[in-house]
Amino acid sequence: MSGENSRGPTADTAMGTAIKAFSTARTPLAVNSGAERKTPEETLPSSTSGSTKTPSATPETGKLSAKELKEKKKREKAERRQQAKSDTPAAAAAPQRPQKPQPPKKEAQGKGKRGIQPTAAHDSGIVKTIYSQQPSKVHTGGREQEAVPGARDKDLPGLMRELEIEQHEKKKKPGFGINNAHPDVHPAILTLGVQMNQFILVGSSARCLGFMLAMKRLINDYECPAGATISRHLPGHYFSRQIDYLISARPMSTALGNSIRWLKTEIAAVSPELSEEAAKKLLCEKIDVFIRERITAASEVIVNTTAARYINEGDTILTFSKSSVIEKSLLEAHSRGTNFKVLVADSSHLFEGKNLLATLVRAGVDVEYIKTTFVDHYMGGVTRVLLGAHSLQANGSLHSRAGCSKIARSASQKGIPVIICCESIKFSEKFTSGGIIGNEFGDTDIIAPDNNCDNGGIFGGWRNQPTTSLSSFMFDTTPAEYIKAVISEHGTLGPTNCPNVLRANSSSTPQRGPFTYSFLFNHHPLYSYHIRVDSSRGLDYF
Amino acid sequence: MSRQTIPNPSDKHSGSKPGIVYSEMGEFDILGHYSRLLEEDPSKSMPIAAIESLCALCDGIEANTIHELLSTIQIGSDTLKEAVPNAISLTAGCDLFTKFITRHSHDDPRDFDTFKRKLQSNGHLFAQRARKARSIVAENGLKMVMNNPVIFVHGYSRCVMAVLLNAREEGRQFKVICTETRPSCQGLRTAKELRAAGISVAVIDDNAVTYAMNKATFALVGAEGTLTDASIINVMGTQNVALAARNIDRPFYVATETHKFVDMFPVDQYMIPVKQNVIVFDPEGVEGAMSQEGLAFVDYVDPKYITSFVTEIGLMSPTMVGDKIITTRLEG
Repeated sequence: MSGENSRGPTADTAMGTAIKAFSTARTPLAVNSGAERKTPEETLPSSTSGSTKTPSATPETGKLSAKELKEKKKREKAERRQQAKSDTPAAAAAPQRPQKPQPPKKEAQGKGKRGIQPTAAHDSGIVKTIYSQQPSKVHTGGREQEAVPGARDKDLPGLMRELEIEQHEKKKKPGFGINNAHPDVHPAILTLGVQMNQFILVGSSARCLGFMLAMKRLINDYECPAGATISRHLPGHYFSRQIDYLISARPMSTALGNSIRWLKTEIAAVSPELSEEAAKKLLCEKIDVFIRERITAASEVIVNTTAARYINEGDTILTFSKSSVIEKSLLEAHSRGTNFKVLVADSSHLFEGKNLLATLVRAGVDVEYIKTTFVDHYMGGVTRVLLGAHSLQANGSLHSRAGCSKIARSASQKGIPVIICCESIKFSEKFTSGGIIGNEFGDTDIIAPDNNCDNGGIFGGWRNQPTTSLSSFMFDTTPAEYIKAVISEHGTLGPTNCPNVLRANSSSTPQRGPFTYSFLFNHHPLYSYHIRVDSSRGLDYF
Repeated sequence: MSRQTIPNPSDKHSGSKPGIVYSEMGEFDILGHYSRLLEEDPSKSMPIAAIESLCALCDGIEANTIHELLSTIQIGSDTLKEAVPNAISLTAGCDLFTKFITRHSHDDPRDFDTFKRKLQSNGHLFAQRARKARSIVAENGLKMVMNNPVIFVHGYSRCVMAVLLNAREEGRQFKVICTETRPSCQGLRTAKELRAAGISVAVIDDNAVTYAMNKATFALVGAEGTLTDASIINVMGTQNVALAARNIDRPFYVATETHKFVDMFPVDQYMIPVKQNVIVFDPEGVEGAMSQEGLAFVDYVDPKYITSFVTEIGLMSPTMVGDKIITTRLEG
C-alpha cells in the first residue's frame, strides 16, 4: 500500500528525535500509522496497544501523586535532552538530509511529507520543537524562520489572514511539541497529540475515538489532590491543559469539541459523595457507553441504512476522499450481493482516497479511481454521490475535505442526489458564512512541491517574495442546497434538520403537550430566524 | 414485540389470503374493512380509513395484554401495507396510530380495559378531527384566493376541492384551469364538481400544461403523501405542473392535511415505495404507453419546486414540513 510505503521512511525522519523523547513509542506509532487510517473501530485495539506500551517509560505513573509525577517528568525530560544532544549528529542530521535529494517522483506522492516540512502556513511545530536543541538554520537554510507567523501575516488577504492569526492564537505561544507541553499533560494525550499533528490519526470520528480512549486512561491514572473532589478538580485547569495541548497539535474538530463538552459535563455531574475509585469507574463506564452509542453503534446504523436503502442494484456511486462510514457502507452493500460501481475521486491533500481504493479493490468491488478535475466528465453516469463529513453545521451546510463542494455542486446541477453519511456527534450548533473561518491550513507542498521550488520551477523562491503567498485549505463548505439527504443514526434527515437532532439530544425527556417548533431559514447566510409556531390548534390529535 | 404469542404474518397458514390478519386470537379481514370504509364514504381519505380499520381490528380481536395489542396492530398495519399497491398515505395513518399506541402504552398498564376503551374513543376522535382538518385547510387556503386569480389545478384532490368550494362560498371570484389528468380522468371529475358549484372552469389537455400556465396566477394541487424531505407524492403529471410553474415563476401550492405526512426519505422519484412500471423497454404485446392497472401511476415532486404547503396548522414552507416530520420522529 502506497500509504505505508511512503510513510515508512518519513515516519522515521519525522520521528527521528521524537522517538528519543518517546522512548518506547516507536513501535506503537509505526503500528498505528497503518491501522489508524482504516476505521475508527480498528483504532480501538491498535491505539490501546499503543497506549499500553507508552507508559512503560513511566509504569508507576498511577501510583505517584501529581507532584511526584511532575518531578519525575522533569527528570526524564532532562535525561532525554541529554540523550538527544549526544545523538543529534547521527539521528537528527541523517534523516533530515535525504529530504532534499529525494527525486521529485517520490515527492509527488506527497503523503509522507505531511507535517514534516515546516511550511509557512502550517506551523508544524513538532519539527521545530524536536530539533529545537540545535539551531534550525543549520539544515534548511532559513526556511524554518519563514514559519514564524508574524513574517507572513502581511501577505495574506482579509479573512485568510484572520484565520492564520486565529490558528496561531489557538496554538498558544510555545507552539506544538512534546517538550513544550505542560508537565500535567498525560502520556496518552501526548501520544494522541503527536498522532494528530503528524496526520497519523486523521478523520473526525477517529480523532474523537482516540481522544475518548486517551481520556479513559487519563481518568484511570488520575489522582485527585487532597481536599478536592473529582467533579471540581478534574474539569478545571488539569483538563484544559490536555485540551490546550491537543489544540496546539491540530485545530479542534466539531466532533472532538462535542465530545469534550459532553465529558466535562459528565465529570462535573459526578456526585461528590462517590469515592474516587467509584467515580473513576463510573466515568470510564460512561465513556464506554458514549463510544458505543455515539460512534460505534451510530456508524453501524448508518452503514446498515446506507447499504440497505441507498445503494441499489446497478448504481454508480461517486465518493470523494475517504470516510470510514462510507467505506463500510460500500463493503456492506457489496457483501449483501448488490452489484454496483464505485468512482473514487481523491483529495490532493492526504490522498486518503487511495486508502479507500485499496480496501475496495481487495474486497472485489468494481471501482475506478478518477481525478477530481474530471469529475464533471464522469458525472453523467453517476446515480448517487456519497460523501463523508467533517462536520454538519446548523444551517445544513457541510464542512468536509476540500473538494466536496465542487463535487456536490456538479452533482446537484445534474439532478444527482448528494447523500451525506454523518454521525450526530459531528453535528455542530454553529455555522459560518463562507468556508474560511474554522478552516485549517494544509500543506502548501501540494501546490508547489519544495523540490520544484528549489530547482527554480514556476514557484521557485516564492517564500522569499513578500507579495506571494500560497494557501491550501484542508476543508470547504458545501451549502445545504446541494445536499439531498443526511444519513445519521437518527434516520435520514434533510440537511437543515440537524438542529432538531441537537435539540432532541440535549433534552433527555421528550416534550409533550402543545409543542412549539422552530425552524431555520437556510436562505439567509448570516442570520437564523427561529420562528415559533403554536401548534395547539388541531395538530395534536390525541 | 412478542412474536412468540402471535405468529408472524410471513408464516401464515396455507390457503391464506392477502389482507387478512391471522392470529391466535382470531382472524380479521382488515383489507375488506378498509375498502368497505372507502366505498361507503367517498370523501374519506386513506389515512383515516386505515386508522378506523386498525381501530376495528383492536375491537375485533380479543387482546388481553398491551403486548398482544401492540403486535396485533403491527401485524395489521403490515398486512394492510402489503395488500395495497400504493401504501404511502395509508402508511401515514398506520404510523400515526402505532405511534400513539406506543406512546400511551406506558400510561396505565394495570387497567387494560380502560386503556382499550380510551384508545377506541380516541380513534374515533381522530377520524372526526381529521375531517375537521380539511375544513381548516379550506379556511387557511382562502387567503390565497385574492384579486380574481386563475388557479391551475391538476387531478382530483379533496383538499383542493374544499379550498375552492369554500372560497366560492365566501364570495371570492376566480377561474380554474384544470387538466384532464388522463388516463384516470380525475380532472374531469374536478371540473364537473366545480362547474356544479358555479365556478368557471377551462379543461385542458394534459399536454397543454406549459401552454396554459402563462394564464394562471398560481398552481394548487393536493398530495397523496408528504414525505420527510417535504417532497410530495401525487397523481402522475404533477411534476410537469410544478416544473411549468417554476419555469415562469408561478407559485406552486400544495393543499394537504398534516396526517398525510409520512416519515419516508426517498432521494429521487425511483425510490418511492410504490410498485409501478412506468418505463418498460420493449414489452410484449404493448404498443403504446404502459397500461395503468389498479391505482393510477404516481409522481414525485421535489421540494425545491414547492412554494408552500397549505395545512390546517397554517401555511408551511417545505423546510417547516421537514422539521415537523423529523420532530415527530425524534419524539416517538
